[in-house]
Amino acid sequence: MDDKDLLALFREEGKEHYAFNLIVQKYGERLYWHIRKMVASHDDANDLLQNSLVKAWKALPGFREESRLFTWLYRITTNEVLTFLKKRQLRSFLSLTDYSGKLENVLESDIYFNGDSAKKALHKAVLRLPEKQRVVFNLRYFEEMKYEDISEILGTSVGALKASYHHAAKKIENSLQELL
Amino acid sequence: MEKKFNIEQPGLKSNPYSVPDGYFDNLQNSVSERISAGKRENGVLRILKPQLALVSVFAFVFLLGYGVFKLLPIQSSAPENSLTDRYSLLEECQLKSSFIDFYDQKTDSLTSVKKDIDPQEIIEYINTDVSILYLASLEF
Repeated sequence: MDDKDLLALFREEGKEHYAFNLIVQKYGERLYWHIRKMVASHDDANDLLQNSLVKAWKALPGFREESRLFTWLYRITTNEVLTFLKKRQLRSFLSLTDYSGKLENVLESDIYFNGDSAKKALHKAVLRLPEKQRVVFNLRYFEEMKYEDISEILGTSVGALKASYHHAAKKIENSLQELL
Repeated sequence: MEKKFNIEQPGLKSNPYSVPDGYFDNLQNSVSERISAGKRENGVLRILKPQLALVSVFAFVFLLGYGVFKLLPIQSSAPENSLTDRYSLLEECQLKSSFIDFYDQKTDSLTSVKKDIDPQEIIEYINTDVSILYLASLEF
């Protein structure tokens, strides 16, 4: 079922829950991986995904289809993740600790990480990126999303996104030289 | 020179993360439960909201009044005390002026005058003043 049909079903009386379940079924996993690559921890990713989906449920009746459903869901999720990371960073700043270092430790001790040393190093390097750059890099590199779609999600021009991705890739290459 | 790590090499993009068993199967249920819990919470809040608002307004007014009386103890209590003092003083004066004790020797002006003036002084005064003698003779 495509997004338009899902939205039409959602607007039918008494079928909101069914339609929303279909939306969760269609996009839940994809959104989860997007969050997980940002925060590393499964527990945090699960909380953030559920919060994002609850927010989407509340906001869906007012969704005017000015953007596509999947970019709209990605935008909600990304905002949720960025807010979460800001709070965590502030907390780390106040307790004089390094948050990206903490994220690397989470990755190091994560029982749900099955990659080899190269992959571990790559994901550690990704976690060292500034948050917004990390979002751009993850969406482009891992999810192979079009710049136009990323632009719709983040509200940033394609040119700026390309520059951001380029800088992120350079930083990761430098970090990998240090990590490997 | 150190060789740069190529992030575009094959296999590197694949997802190394995993999730607990059945996580995605239960996701819909978890989200549905969260939505239902949120709805219940909203319903209770909607009912309690006006009452809570009223209680908080009363509490605010009470605290405001309490704070004012507590913060200004001297200014608020001093005039009150002086006012009571004034009232009691006024009452005392009124009692004194409205109630005459006819048997009170202390306040009787006639007896007190008599007591205060020495008889010797009266004789001396009569002796010195001729007009009084004249007046006395007229009486007889």
